[in-house]
Amino acid sequence: MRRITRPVIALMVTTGMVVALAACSGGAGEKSTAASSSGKASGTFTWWGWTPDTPVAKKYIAEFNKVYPDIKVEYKNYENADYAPTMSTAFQTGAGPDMFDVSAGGNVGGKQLWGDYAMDLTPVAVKAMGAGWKDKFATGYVDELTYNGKVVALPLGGVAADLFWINKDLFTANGVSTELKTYDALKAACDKFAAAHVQCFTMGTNSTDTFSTELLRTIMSSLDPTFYMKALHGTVSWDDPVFVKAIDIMRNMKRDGIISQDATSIKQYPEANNNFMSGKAAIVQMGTWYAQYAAKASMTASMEGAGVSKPVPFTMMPIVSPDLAGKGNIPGYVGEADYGLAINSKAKNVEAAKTFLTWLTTTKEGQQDVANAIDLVPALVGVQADWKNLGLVSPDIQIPAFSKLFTDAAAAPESRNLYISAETGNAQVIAVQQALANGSVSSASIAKQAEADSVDMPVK
Amino acid sequence: MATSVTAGPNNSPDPHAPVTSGGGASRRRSHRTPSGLGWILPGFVVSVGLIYFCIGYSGYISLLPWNWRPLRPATIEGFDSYVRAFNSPLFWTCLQHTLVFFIVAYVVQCVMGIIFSAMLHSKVFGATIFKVIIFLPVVIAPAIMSPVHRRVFAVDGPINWILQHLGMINVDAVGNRVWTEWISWALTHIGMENVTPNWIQPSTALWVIIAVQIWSSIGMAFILFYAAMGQIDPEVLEAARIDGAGNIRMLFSVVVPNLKPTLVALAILNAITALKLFDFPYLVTAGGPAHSSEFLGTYIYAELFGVSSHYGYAATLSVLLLILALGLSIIMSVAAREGRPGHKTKGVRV
Repeated sequence: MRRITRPVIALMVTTGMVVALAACSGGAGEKSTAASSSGKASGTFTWWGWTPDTPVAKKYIAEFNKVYPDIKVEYKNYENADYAPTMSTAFQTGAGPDMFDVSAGGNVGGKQLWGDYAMDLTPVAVKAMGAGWKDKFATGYVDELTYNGKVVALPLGGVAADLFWINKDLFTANGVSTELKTYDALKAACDKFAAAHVQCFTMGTNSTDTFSTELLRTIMSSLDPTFYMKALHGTVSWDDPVFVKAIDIMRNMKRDGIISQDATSIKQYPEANNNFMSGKAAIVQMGTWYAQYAAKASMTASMEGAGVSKPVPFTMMPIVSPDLAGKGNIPGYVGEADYGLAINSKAKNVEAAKTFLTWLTTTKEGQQDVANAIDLVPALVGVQADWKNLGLVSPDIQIPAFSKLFTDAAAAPESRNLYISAETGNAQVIAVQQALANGSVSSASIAKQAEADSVDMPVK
Repeated sequence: MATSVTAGPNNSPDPHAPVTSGGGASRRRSHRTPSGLGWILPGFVVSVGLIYFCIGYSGYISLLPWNWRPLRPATIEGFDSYVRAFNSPLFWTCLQHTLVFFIVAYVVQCVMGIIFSAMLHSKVFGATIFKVIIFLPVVIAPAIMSPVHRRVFAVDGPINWILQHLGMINVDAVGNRVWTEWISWALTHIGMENVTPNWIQPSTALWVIIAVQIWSSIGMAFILFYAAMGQIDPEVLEAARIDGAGNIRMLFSVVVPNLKPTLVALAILNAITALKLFDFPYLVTAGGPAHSSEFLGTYIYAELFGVSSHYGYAATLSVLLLILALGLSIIMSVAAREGRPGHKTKGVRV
């Protein structure tokens, strides 16, 4: 008896470990069920995304559950920088979510990264919206989420950038004009804020995300509105004098106290965002998604998140970027489908995921909830936010400004991330970091390095 | 009662002959030998199955052109990724950072570790509290401390606040922290005019990481030296004292030579730490700005996850890291053995 006990125990332990490992890798979806006995989708499915913020997602899910109480959505939000590592590992190991975010481009959720893992949603869209379904979405949104001939995601909404957000209360309190149409006007405003010990323009570059490069793009658009897209497509190079001059202007902005000194040491999220939300800084460059914090409830939560113990919501307003190069070019918005929802081709509960995706992206009810979160420009044509009932801090001045912003954003003539390869995005992050460093590298050298590291995307 | 089961061939004229003494020793011996295999099986499965398989698989991936596309290609590319690594300025920058990190961190850890240990081997009031204070950073996870370090080195953080109150920093008209005139003069004259009181920037980010790592690991060096000093024969110290050696002379002529094994062990530990450094560079400076605090660990992570999923290239860098770590460990171990008292060199016992 004793002779066999030890080897047998060892073998059992080993077998147990192997079984446990196997169970870890393969058992995650056991609790989900594809459909109830009546054929209607039910059960639990998982949704992973870098956006929306969890409170917004919870609102979507709560509204959805009023119609579909048998489906449970488990949403998991990741920081931008964590999304790609998590997704990459999950897909490689077969443990990906049922539904996930996909964007038109960029190095977080770009369709070129995750499109291969998604199923073609054309049949889903046709079934939900009938023939001509593409025309029911904002122009270009579906094409922007199409990859290798496959509709990898249905658009939830659009986004636009190249705009500034200001804390209007800080401007008023310090007697600073909000008419920031030129470099000099911006500098004059920042001088007043400096005298009042208020940070003027906050931005964070100490990260691999590309938020910081949007200012560089704004400056380039101010120098030459056509340059950026040409450079993305490779018809001009990044070491062109326009890029060099843009680096110079960015450096001037730091020298003149427009860009805060800590730009190289903080990140756009959470630090620059916190600087703005806590009232420490007066201006930040963010896109249309930032409108979601204009409502009292969400702003209060954001201010608390930024460390404000007794938050008093302030009036935040979008303004068009100034003509930073002084050439008379006011940079226009750049925009596209922000992100869409994709279904994993190996999803464990496909029907439940399809039901949620269809409801949120193709129905007026779902899209109205998207519009009311003012996180996105609604993807479905004809849907607008219910501005009067969103609890804005200063509805009388915010509603006209926000309505115009969202209308203009939907018609943004230039894409934001669609043609930016991951390498180009990263090269520009490095260029911005070097530009705002101590000046030991010349602007021409920075531009030359950016050209060397970039990978052009072909014109489509 | 029973015959020893550890008796080897020297205890028995014929190792194959059945041992009858005690009635059953041979049976015990025969079933214990194979049962040992059973006991090591779980560890064997884990180490070979997970660790060595992963190393082998990384080696395989490093030969694939698996860049950007998420799906694994079937064809082997060869050693192109290795050529790319050796041609990459960033790869050499990472190695340079690793070397600087290793040298500075090791020297500071040794000096401070020995000083702390020597002080606490003396009759210091509150020695236990000092020991806890010195060792505490070792047990705090980098993920917890990194946001604190980011705050400490922030432009408006505690370090600049102290420097400002020491008269070394001014706040200029646009709110930026700038050196006072005499500090600027001094920095210019030693060729450090690019250093500004914004610590997380290309000229200083690496030094921030080194400082943070030293803070975090000096407790470990202290413990090692403290234990090693406790092993020194008190008679040796007493003899030195009788010979008229003062405290400083005792430290350098008696104590430090006896710490050589610890110095070597610490060097190996620091070399491996430097090579696989990831947590503080990633969490405090994100390897930047502009790769100024990039190490092999953060470089591999950035290539694998951060930018464009260069799986093949990241695996190549991992293999190179493994080779470097192994090579360095072997070299340092051999060097340490050759320098050990009693080791034969060219037939002469030294």
